Amino acid sequence: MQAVTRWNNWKRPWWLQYSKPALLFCFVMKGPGIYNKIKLAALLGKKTLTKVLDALPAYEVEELYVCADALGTLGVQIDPSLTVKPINLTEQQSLISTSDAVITAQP
Amino acid sequence: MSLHLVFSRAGLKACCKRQQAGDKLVLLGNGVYAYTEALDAGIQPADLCLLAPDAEARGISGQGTLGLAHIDYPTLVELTQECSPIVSWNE
Amino acid sequence: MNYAIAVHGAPYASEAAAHALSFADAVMAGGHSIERVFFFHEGAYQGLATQVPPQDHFNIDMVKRWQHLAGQGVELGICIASGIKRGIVDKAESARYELEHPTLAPGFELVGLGQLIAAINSAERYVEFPA
Repeated sequence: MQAVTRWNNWKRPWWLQYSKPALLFCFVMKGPGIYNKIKLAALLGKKTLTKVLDALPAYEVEELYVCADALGTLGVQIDPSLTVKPINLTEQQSLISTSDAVITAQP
Repeated sequence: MSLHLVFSRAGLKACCKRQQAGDKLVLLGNGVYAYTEALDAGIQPADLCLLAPDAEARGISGQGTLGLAHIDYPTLVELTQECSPIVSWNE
Repeated sequence: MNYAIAVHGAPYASEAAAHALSFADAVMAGGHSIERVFFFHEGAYQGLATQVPPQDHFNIDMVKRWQHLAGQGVELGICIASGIKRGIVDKAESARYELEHPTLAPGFELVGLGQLIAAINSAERYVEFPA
């Protein structure tokens, strides 16, 4: 799972105690992380990120993407209960290049 | 202009799909083995370099890397100042 | 320029620390500053006080090199969640969990994930060294 951050002037995630421009996290799920999203993780005996993903809006993380390329490669469909947007590689290029920092989060 | 730090062959594969023309790539660690794959993927030689200590540790000399630059850590720091964001790829 | 650095790899299983330390040394030598080094996942082991690597191992002086960086004013923050589940505990956590001894090396501190975000917020560049 790779988190891509964008600077946003007026949003203040709870963990920031500063008044400087805050961060808007846009999570891009790629590769095996997608299995967590569709609850297969429970069948495989792995920890599911579903509850974490469901909690993200509470932390003002509003943009959640999934790599369309990985969806196709892995033959996975998006769980309709999840509010995620598939983005292609070109869109990911743009997301990365317009970000101030890119954080990798490994489960 | 982004800077991509590529630490492995798998990282290079993921990076090449998501980097843009004009971005800079530095191969580090076992990523130095992937310099031919990087060129085959269309990365321009001027945008690609290897971290010298890692290449040397793996027996990859400057003469054998098709003219690609081998950079030291001070040069890597300079690259991080010229580029943003800095993205690390290991898978 | 001010940097935030993250280290994701363990001392014996990864080159993450070697890369990060050499990078950090070059940053400081270039007259720049480091907001914080944040150790995450297996990188938490970098702050384990009880390491005894073999004399010929490449990471023989890693802890000392990190501590030298701390002596130059660089904060070394180990993700508390990553740390305590791996047995890297400071005095407070050692007492909380009724463990015999703290295992966090001097110069390091256990911090929350928010400190990574705060460091990225304050710094001009964020560089990650994966496992």
